[in-house]
Amino acid sequence: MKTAILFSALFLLSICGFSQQTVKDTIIMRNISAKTMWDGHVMNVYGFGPDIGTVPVPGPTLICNEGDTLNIFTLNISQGSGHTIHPHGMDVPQNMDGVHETSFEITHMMDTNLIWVATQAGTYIYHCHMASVLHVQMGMYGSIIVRAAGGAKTAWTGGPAFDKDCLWLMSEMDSYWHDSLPGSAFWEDDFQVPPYNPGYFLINGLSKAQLNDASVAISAKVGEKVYLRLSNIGYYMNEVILPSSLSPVILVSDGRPLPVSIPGDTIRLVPGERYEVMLTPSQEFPFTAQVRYLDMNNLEVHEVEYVPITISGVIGREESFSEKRGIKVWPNPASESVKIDVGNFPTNEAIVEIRDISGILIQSTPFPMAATREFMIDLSGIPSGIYSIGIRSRSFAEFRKLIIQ
Amino acid sequence: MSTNLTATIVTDTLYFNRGGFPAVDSTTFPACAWNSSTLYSPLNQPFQLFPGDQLALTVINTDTAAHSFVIKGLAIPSLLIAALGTANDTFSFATAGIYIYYDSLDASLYSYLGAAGMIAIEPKQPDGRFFWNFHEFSKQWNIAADSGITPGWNNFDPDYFTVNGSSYPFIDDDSTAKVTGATGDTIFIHCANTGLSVHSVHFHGYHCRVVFSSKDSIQVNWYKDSFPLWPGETAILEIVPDKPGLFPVHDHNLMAQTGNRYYNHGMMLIMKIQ
Repeated sequence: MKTAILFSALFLLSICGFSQQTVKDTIIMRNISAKTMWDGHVMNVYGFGPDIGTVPVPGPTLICNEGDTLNIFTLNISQGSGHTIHPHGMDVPQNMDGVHETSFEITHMMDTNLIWVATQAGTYIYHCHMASVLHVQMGMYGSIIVRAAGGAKTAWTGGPAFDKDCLWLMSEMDSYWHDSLPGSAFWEDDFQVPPYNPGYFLINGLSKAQLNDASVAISAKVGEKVYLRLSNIGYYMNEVILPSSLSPVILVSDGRPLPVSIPGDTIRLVPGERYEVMLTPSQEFPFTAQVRYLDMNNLEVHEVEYVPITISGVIGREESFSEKRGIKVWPNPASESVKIDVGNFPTNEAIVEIRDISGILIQSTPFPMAATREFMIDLSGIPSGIYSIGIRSRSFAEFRKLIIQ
Repeated sequence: MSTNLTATIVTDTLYFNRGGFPAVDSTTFPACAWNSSTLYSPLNQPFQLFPGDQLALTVINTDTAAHSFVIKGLAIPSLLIAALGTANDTFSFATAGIYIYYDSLDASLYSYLGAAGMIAIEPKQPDGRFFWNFHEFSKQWNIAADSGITPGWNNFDPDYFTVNGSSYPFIDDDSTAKVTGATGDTIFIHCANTGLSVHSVHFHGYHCRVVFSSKDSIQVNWYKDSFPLWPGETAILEIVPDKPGLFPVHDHNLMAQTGNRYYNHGMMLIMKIQ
């Protein structure tokens, strides 16, 4: 009797371990909208929006837990264009796969509910699979994040834990496609697209100075585990180069844990591929990650985008490291030398450092005891590039970005 | 296609042919291939053996120029076949994997023109096996190369994208390429990139297990839905379907799903699982 009660209790516990729920979302499909690029150019775009009035590119990120059912209400308002939504990598049944040749098409002013079961934690993509070479380029894509069961902050259910996660969805845009193609044309197969020559290279739909945005730039503290989700919906290869000082370890690809994790600071993603990388910063520093975009036909690097990764302080401590003490650096960009004014920074046993974007020390100079607040640093012998220059003492450190020409 | 279930030596004949490549938009341009007869076909003859087997090959050159026969990954001298000549040799395969055979003469120009196929050495007998030879062409390059003009390799910009010499929807007519089977089957897909571009092989419906990768052995036993296949590299991908259905597989560089920039006439096929 006691054994039967024990088994019953254990059975009930097992089935109630993680509650699975239905997560509801709304996606409105549009083919008339506009996106302002980093240089002010306004592009015609298609897209997926959370409501009728908003068409962001990329579309909204769908988030659920492993075991949940995603129930997506979708409505197509596209002046005659048909669209679909394919949940890329989620291995759904044929009728929900979103390929118009084999499953379904959502025509203009048609609505339907898409039901997907999130069977495996990971990073996925959703995109239109109707005239896909055109509709994806025009902006019809977004991300799906399936968290571990119960919403745990782990790489997978039962996997290594993280403190925060970030998503980088890479893509490109060719303005000729957007500016010259009619809004409602080419909704069928058997159309001819222009040559593909992108001029905009995006992370989460942003580029250049826009990458300082909190949706892309990473801010974390020393010792904090940051889980970086990398995803490529473009037509170019990406090469993501992370500062080695962040100790990056590749854990997951295409939503499946790797048999053996791989330490590595350079991750290549071909179109459609995803990787998930654990970062464990060990020093405070203003780092920069590089994202390169390579032509799949000849591996020519067409663009490099730079993403700030700022590591400060120590988890649980007061952020005395981040208190600005007014150091100034000029000229910037510099060539043969640069001056640093340390403001009210304590200079006792201080060192002036120049580090590259990976955090590697290039040059260090003790701050002269007899110096005034200003100090000139010789840059001869340092190649042109982007660096950080700053001052470090026993208790404090402060850095600024420096461009050497 | 040659298969080997119990024999240890497979004997076959391969012909080097020149011909007009029939592009998906009905244009043609000069190309070449290794075929099972003297008739040109864009499908390079695939071979399948098991570790320890040997391939006894007679190679007949129907062209008026000399050609070579090389197997990438085997430490053997290349076989030189004189114009309109014949050569033969026996090749041994000790380990599982996919080996590309090609013509290495003239900086592999003829390999670019299409003369490159694969030899699959399977680690075990699957329930189904299929061959995907990824290759892309620039029509203008083919015309120039056939005229003796060396293309500028750094500026490759292809306009036709093929699997086994065909583009969608005609790839689905190739029974060696179109994946068919049943749920629970162990299906091997033998992949070779005999072209110059990197391809991203994306599966709908299932993740595949990497059984063999010539470029990155560390990827063996990874489960992928988007697999990078680099030029000159090969892979064995295994799928064990868990559900029936029709599911596309295609290059996720979506420009490779076009033919002369017409969509959907590039690297795509539809798997049929019952």
